Amino acid sequence: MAARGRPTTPLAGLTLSPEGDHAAYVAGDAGKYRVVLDGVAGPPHDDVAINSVLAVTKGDRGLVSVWESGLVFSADGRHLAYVARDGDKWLVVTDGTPGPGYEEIGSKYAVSSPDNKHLDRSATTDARPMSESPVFSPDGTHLAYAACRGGKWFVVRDGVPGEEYDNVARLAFSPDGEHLAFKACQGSKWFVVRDQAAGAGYDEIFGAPLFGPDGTHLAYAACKGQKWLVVVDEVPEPAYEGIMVPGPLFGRDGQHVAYIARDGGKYFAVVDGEPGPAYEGILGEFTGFGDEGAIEYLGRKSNDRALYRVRHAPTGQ
Amino acid sequence: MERTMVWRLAALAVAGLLGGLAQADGAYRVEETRLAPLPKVCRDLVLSPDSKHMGYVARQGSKWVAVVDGVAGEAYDTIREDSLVIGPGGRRVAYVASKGKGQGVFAVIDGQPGPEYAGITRPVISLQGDHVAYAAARSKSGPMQMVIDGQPGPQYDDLGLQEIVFSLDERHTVYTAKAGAKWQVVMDGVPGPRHDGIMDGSLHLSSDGKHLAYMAYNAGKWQAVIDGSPGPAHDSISGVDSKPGG
Repeated sequence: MAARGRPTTPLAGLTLSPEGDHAAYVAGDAGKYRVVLDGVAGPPHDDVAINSVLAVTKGDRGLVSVWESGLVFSADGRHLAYVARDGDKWLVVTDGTPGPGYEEIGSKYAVSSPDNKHLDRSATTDARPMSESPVFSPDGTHLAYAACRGGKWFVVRDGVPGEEYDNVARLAFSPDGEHLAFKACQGSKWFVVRDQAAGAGYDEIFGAPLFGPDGTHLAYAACKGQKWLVVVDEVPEPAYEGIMVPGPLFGRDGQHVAYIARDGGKYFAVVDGEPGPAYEGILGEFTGFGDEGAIEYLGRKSNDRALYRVRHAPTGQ
Repeated sequence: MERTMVWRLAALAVAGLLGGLAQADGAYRVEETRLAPLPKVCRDLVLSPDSKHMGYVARQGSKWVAVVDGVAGEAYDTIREDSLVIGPGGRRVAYVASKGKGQGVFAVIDGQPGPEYAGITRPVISLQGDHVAYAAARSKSGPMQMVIDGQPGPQYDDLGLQEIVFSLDERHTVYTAKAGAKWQVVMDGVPGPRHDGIMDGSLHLSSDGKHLAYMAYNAGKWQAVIDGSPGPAHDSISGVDSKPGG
């Protein structure tokens, strides 16, 4: 038995806007596909991109495929975008208006470890193909997506194509929508591009770059050689054997960064670059800073069978 | 039994590594509290959604107990594997137990055992922890019913994935059910229109629970049903063109 906690998350068949006041889905008839928004069908396409199996639900009937639609509402629900194919060209359709056609749209690059819980070199051997939908800024006023022409990838922001790379992936707007960051690949190196400025090159970059709440700071986890490290505003922190999912997280004031790292077989929280006590394991998903600016987690030591509740609190508390 | 150790991490030169982040006087104090040790024989280690509360199932003589944050519940002959679940903040605890081999099973919610059934699913605790639900059957091949907050709902021939969806405001519930050859969505205990099938995983409830949408299969066509009104019929919906299972 399963319960879904976020009913507005796009799942099988239907996509609801965040407030649930708009509904869209892809309908197929006689070999053509249309996006139906609030009961009104849009223009016909030869295909509409749908992410493949998103999740597998285990009920008493066994494993069941659950599909994710590629339809994307803006946070305010006022705009809808999707990727469609007309002939041999792919295009982004925003509020019913088709954009220019490209060879491909989206990207096919994602890295996770086999258990999807940690980042390390083994992750690169288990790269999962993943398509990406267009990305709205949080206020819904900007739209960006990755496109390919002539074998080169670039980001199209508000209709304007940017610089070309061998690959681009994981687009992220800042909370105020003013800044855009993504990771790009040129040759064998990956780097983060922030507002058209490329950062340092790394062997891998995990997930999407993360803006702090005020949009002025940017953090991501990167791999260099056999080590992973967190980079904050393009300043690298010490490298470790692994950085645990979900990678670096900002505090609510945007001034602090925390993550879980692994080194020498031990796990520890790193807050503002400073590693805390080491544990045999840190249980559960790291959720970052709480309301009071502290982080808290459960750690397990090897020298006894006890668990430890660990809290990193600002010294002012 | 708890023991707290406090580490004080000095403000370091590391602060300079963090560029523009305000860190010069930002030392953190680390408090480490030792919780009760894990017994040698225990299983089903689970965490609350915020990862701050921990539970497991442990042997106690010939019986089993669920232990949450070091506090053991009542001992039972069996506690079903992987049935222990802890709600947000650690304030709700539920699992499936029985009083002996061949006996019925029951849900233990917040320490209180419920009625016996031939079979029940792992309990589900809602996001805010206000509700606990599970699917149950009085006999192995008999009808099933959803039990929400201890109140058994109507009986149905099948409950599909036995999946229940709570609205974010915790006021509404929906699940799929089969009566005879037809499937229905049951919202707040009230069954909706009857369909040949309902797409797995397609139940959507808006945050305020005011809007319900799902994909239904009728007479060989798919339809989106939004707030009870079926839309136009299509050959396929979102790439799904086959008759739903179940």
